Amino acid sequence: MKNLITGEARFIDDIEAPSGLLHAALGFATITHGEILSLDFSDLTGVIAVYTARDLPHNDISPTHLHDEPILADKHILYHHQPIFMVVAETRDLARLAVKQAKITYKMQPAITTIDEALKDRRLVTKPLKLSRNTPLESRLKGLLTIGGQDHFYLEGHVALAVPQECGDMHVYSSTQHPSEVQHMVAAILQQPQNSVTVEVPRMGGGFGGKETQSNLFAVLASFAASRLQKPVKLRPDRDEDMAITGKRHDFKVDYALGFTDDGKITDVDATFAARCGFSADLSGPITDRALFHADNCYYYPNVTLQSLPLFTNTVSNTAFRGFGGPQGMVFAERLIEEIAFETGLDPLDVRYKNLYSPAQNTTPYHQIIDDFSFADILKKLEITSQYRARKAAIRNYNAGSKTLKKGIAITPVKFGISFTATWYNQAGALIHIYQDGSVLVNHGGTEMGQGLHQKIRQIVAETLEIPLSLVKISATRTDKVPNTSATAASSGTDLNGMAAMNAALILKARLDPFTGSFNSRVKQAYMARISLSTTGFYKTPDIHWDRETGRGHPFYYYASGAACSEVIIDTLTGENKVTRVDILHDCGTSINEALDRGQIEGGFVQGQGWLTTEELVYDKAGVLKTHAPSTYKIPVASDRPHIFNVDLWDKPHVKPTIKRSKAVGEPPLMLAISVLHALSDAVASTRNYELCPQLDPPATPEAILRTIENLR
Amino acid sequence: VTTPLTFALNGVKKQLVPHALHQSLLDYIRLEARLTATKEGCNEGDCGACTVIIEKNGEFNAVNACIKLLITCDGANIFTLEYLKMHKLQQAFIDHNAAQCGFCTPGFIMSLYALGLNETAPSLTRIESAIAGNLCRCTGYQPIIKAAMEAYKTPFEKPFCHEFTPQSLAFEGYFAPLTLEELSDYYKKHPDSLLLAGLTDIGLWINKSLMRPPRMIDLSKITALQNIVETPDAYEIGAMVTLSRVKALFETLHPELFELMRRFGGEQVRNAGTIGGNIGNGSPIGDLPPVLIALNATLVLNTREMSLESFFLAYKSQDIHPGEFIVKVILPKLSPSLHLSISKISKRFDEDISTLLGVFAFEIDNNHIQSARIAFGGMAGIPKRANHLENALIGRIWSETTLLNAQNMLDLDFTSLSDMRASSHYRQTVAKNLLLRAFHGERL
Repeated sequence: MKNLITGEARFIDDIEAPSGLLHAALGFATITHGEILSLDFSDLTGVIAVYTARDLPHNDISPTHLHDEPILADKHILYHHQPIFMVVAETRDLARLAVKQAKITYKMQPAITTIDEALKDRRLVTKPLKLSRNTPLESRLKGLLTIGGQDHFYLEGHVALAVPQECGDMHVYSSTQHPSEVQHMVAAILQQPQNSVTVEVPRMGGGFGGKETQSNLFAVLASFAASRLQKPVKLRPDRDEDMAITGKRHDFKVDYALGFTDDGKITDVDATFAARCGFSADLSGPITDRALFHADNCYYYPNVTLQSLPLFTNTVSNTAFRGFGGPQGMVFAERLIEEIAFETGLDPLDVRYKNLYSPAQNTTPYHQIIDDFSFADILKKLEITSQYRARKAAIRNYNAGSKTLKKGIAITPVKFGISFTATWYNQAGALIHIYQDGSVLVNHGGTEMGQGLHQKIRQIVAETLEIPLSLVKISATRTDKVPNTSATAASSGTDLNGMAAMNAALILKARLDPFTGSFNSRVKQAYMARISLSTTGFYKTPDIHWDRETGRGHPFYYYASGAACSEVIIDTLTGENKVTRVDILHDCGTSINEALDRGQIEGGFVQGQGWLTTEELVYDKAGVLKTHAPSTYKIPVASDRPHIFNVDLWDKPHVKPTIKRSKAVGEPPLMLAISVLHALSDAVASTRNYELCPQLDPPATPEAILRTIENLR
Repeated sequence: VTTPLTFALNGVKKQLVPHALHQSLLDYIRLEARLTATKEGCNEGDCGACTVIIEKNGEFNAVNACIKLLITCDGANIFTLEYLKMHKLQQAFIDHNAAQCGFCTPGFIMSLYALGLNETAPSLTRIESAIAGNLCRCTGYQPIIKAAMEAYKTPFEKPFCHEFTPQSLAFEGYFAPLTLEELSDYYKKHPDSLLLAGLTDIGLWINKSLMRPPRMIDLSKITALQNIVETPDAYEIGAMVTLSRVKALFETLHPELFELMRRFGGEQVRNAGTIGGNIGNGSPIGDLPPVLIALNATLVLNTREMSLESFFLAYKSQDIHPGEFIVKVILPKLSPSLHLSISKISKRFDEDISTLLGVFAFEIDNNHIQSARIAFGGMAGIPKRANHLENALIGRIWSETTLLNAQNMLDLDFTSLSDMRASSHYRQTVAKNLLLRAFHGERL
């Protein structure tokens, strides 16, 4: 971490400019839907080149090969700010200025921008999913839940630097979670074999899913220009452009019918998850699938039908974001619990207990059998350590005596499925070299975006080789070192790459074991004995399968779980609110690195808190995003973090033989923040003496809270 | 022969002529000085990744380098993260695992370093306020705050700063006068000039709209605009007094005034932005005008003076003509019987732009409302008084009933708009509710 603290760490934009470096900038559509009538670049000054779709030999960056995502708009404009052309100039300033001089005329067409409009239109970007087990019959209540989207707001925006090499080869520095996909896309635009393109990722300044597929555009265009001009080209959009043209967390509208018994047990669940996917499929298929996979959270639904509606809209193509649809599914599950609590008068926590999966009721809507019930133990322990019941009683007292300020508390669990549902993604490779001085260089397929993956892998390799950490170095992720990698996503980075690195280290250890003496001495002896001190390691996740057609299978190797108890206070005159205390108990299995895991838990929680409270994506009637900069899009700042923030790890070895018996921790903690939404809801409910379910839809901005209070009157 | 710009970067003196007037300090640091620790995160002064320190009069001010023009840095001691060589603050960041992706880290360290240079053992609230202008998307902030608390256990040693003799500076299309006379003369000759104050707005015009002002007058070297003068019945605040200094003054005047300034922008914006800029740019959502209007402030231009209230004519239209500029604001001293309530409503508490801002200044005597000056920002095209509401309150008994009865007068005073910050309904409702808050005083 030291290089991050001293500022020596180099992000892509910090790399010393290669000689002759040129800068690219993009020109964007100023309409939401329609056709380009004319393009006029005659006024452009100070530019070296201008490229449009016509110049591209291949105009497709659909990551799922649906051919629905052009690199540059050819004729049809499908969303506001769709890139239309690229300008290359000697400086970034000149390129950006030149973009403004282009003249484009359009023919406008009616646009579909909201979920409501899309629900009438019913055009889907990809095939929907239906999960069912038994047929839900009885419904005692029906409801509607809207869930807002979220911008990633990685602090380092997208950037790509393409440097031409000899014989047409290309070296691309890309801020991406998926270097192999970038490599494939760049090879396609250059119409060259994949072996001619190397993608290198030194590190990212945050990713959160926003750099899983969204980096392709920038890397492909920079590479295309670099290839045409035979000069290095950098493409780094401005923050506002980055936010306007890259996909976000999907917003959803969930229509549900719920059946339950008088004692609070869920019987029937029938729900349709409509998602605003944007103009193309991108990853919306697997994301809406994952929303359904998590629409049960920790709860058993005896009779259930869950359907996804991945809707086309004339907006940016929404994409992966930490949790990948799972958070929206869980927000739904917790809404059901809340509805039942208000209908039955039970405490929501008791409704949760009544419906938790158990050995007797262990089948998910996708027919995977739950065999790890740690979420139940975690919930019970957290109820005690957080003093939930006593604090809840105290809050009831406080609220009775407080006219404008009201407090609320809630405790919610998380069960998150670990594995890519695209089963073939669950593989990883690593490459380890041992040099003659005993120093070790590790390369693996995962990318570092701040989650500490490289540090965990260093530890794994050092422990496996039984050498000090200082001997092990991790180099930048490169497609020419480890090929055919999967995206660093789905919380799988350590599980997959850690195992591959360990396997490689085990091979080398076996080669060194015949020799005696210190590590250094054994390395030297092995070298002299002409034994290879370099090897690869490979891993694939066992025991997973999934049949999307039948909606049956075992898509997850295991589940990560945790629980959080949040307390809030709201001002009923304004809807302003504060998260005053949070207690978390989270299961990381045997933690490989407690500091890093705590970092993921706290950071994930606060990011989730932002999603559910202050972060609001506002589109105007024409479908133009109005919140495209930090001045208008408000992620949490330091004072928003819970001031009492107790985080404990459920430190028990994982029953499954995962890497060092750990559990994945990247995404699951984000969903612990659902407790904040329910604490806010609890506070809102006090204004109507807890008689009605507030149905507080996220994001719970001050305005949403005040509106919900008004609705209860 | 053009006099070059003179400044010190990390203790080393530099002399140069900027190759473009609009070149940002950030681009100079990253692209020319090749110090890449300082990052560009948003290019609009809202994320703090580009935070550097500029020393002035012994104060170490964290500022956003992205919206600071290099040309305005004459005579500045500028410090970037590279200046620090494993400072104890950096060690504390390592010990507390306070960096994840690391992209925001240099900015956080510089903000916290500045605080440690200016204050000894700052409180938790003060630390939060000092980093309200720094966004982190990874850590959740707790480790950063723990690291800071650890580092602040002992005082920070101040870095050496060079002394620079103030000089007026002129380039083609740019003039930085030292005196009001120089300013007046030049501005009369070149009334098309853009006046530069703290650049917290103009920096965005340049970075985002790619505006290239043909002629600029930099007011930052005119000491006569930087004074706060206490007279028997008022404070005269120079147009170029920074918001940080306004905050320090307000802290001595009233807790409500202090709280507003604590939440005004982030520290970097408060260190750069000025009271004159906040008024002069005519924004309907500037945080100071409603307060100053409610407190009956007077605006002094170089040519005339007027009540601040009458300065704002219509959306982005002010009573000021080419050649005129703001010299100072005269803020009358608060009467001991003043009942003051200020509420800034925004999606996020810190470092956010007001959705609406309500200021209620009552004189209560014998349980009757003797006078009421109520002003709002964000409710109309200009910061504006709620005259109907005021009239409905003056002379009435100071009670919740009075306020409840008068609340709806706000609908006569304002027809607010819906935008990305909130709906008109929310603004109208909350504006009315804030009147109740002014009575009860209860808030989060």
